[in-house]
Amino acid sequence: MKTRLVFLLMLLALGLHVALGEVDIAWGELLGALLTGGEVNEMHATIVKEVRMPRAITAMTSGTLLGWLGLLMQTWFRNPLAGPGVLGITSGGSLGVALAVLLGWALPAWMAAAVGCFAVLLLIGVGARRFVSPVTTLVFGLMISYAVSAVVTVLQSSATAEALQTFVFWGMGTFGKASFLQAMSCMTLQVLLGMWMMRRAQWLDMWTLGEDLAQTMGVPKARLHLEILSLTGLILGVVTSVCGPLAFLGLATPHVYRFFHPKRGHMDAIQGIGVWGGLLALLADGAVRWTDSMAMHWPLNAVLAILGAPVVLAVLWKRTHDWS
Amino acid sequence: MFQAPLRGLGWLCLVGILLLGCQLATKEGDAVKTGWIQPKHAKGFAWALSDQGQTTLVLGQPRTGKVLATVSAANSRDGVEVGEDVPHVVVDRDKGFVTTSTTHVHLLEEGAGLDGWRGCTSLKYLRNAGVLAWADSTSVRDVSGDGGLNAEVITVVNPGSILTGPNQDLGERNWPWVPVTEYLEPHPLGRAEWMVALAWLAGDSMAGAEAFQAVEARYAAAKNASVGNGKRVFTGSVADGVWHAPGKGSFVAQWIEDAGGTYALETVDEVSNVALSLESMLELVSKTDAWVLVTYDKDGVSERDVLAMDPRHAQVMKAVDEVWVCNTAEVDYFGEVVAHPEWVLEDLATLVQSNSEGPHGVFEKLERPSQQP
Repeated sequence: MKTRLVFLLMLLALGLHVALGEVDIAWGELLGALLTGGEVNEMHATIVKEVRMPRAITAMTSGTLLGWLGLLMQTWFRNPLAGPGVLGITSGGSLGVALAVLLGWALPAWMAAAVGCFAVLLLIGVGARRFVSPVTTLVFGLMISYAVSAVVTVLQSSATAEALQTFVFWGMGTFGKASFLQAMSCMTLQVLLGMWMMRRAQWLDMWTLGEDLAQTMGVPKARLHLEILSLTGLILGVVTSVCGPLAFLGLATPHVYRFFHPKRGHMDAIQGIGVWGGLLALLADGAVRWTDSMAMHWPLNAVLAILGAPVVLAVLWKRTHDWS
Repeated sequence: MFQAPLRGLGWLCLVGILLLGCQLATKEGDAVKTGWIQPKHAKGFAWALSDQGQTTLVLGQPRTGKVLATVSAANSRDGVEVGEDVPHVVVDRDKGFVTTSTTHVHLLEEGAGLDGWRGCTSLKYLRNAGVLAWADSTSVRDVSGDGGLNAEVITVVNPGSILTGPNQDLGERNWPWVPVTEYLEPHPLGRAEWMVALAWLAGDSMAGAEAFQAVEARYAAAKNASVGNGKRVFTGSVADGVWHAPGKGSFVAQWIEDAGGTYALETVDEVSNVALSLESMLELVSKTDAWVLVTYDKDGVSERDVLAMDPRHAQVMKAVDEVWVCNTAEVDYFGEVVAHPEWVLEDLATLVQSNSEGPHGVFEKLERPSQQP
């Protein structure tokens, strides 16, 4: 499947995301609201600009960002099961929110998640300076994840029912709480990460040949390690704080891309995974909004897994791909 | 040798601090004088009245006293000293309100009425036919959605206030969130008294006050009619090998005491739930006459159902003479009953005093075929 076609599908999904919703808005009004011209109902303009647009942009950019981070982690650790969550940064976000919500700290959930993510990133950064191999960093991240999960479980065991409910809802993930500023932050990060990945595509290609070979070909391991860690931490911290912990997109999107596009280099993969990530996130959020309109209210993380898991399973079933 | 001069210096400092304190107080007093109206039983809200005629509702956490928000129709809270970081919510009564709990709906229905009710997240959990008919006839919107509330529907409804819980981020989308903490109140009448605060929010505090006075009078009458007969009552259930029961300072314990019984968990003075090891619980339950179990079963609760919840309930049932069950599938324990604490008291008192079931059907005595000879 051509990447261009997927890009067009993503744009179509984006357009439908803004055009359709609980409230019927005529196309003329919709365009008026977007372009600030013509006769526009004030309420409809508010819905388009403050509810639908931030949500659609956040879904698209978060999907792209998580897809790219998944590619980055799978390349760096040379492991198809690696995803953005393996470093424990998402768990850090959970800890931040658990402390804020379950202990009643006066901090909004998104801010607490950001603080938690960056605290864990700092810890990994300190640890990573000592570790020779990315695998050690991976194990270190997993251990942090376990430790953080244990603390969260202890906090949950003594929380009130309502605090627990708030925390559980946060864990289900949503694009629906993003403000316009947060959506723009995600978009800025998308530009930043996209530029960095294109600049480093050649190094990443070399890295897939093996750590030693890549170094002999001139890839500066320490620098690449630092850049990957910093960017992953920063982006995952922001995405988790805005949308909650979204684990499946990062893991699944590179697999979906590889299913439809034969083995290609990182430059192609960056473009393909970017649009596939955006499309999958928009489709999943479209399903969430549809279940909302049917009074079923399926959580985003559940929909992502329901949509994504069969695709990944189909990939594994149909292909005997050599992941190394 | 330095003791006398040091003492003198200490006194001088003390006088200085006192003078400074008086000066600050005078300055504040010159600006806006504030008086307070405290509710009789509730600890989670109070009204601040400024000498300029502004009324501000101050909402807090009843167990810790921490102020969560101030609420008024005005843009500021002049004269209310609660700290800069406490959010101030501006409500518009003409635009109505949205509820996020069935309890809010029943407290409002009992007090100010549901005229301003515009939206609800818990429509499918409401059971009262009158309330449901009202929601249907006035087109109350289902505002639930992904992440809590459906942002589009809320924008359309554009409510003047959104009643929520204490864990809500009050800054979210700049919506007029009003944190309601009734379920944290330590006294059943404290929970019911929230109908006055909610009636104030809905624009008819007089109706709320009158409704609450009637509830309070019936509660007092039932309490006065109850004679302490020393019957020891216990409540709670097993979860994950631990017994969870409301503490001595909880509204459940208060109900049992007011009904003339003795709450078995005497030594623990906790307002919230207490976790007991099964050993401690069995020791305690051996000195108990009745066990109150609040549970949900849409097909009715039988002895087999109670044992199916946890086999260790058999030990509890063996130790007590009676099991009183409140089946929340049949009784709106978390909704209508909150606005009528006197129903629970009257039913509990009947059980404590006479061993027969009460007039409101909040509790039923569990039939125990295994205990029959």
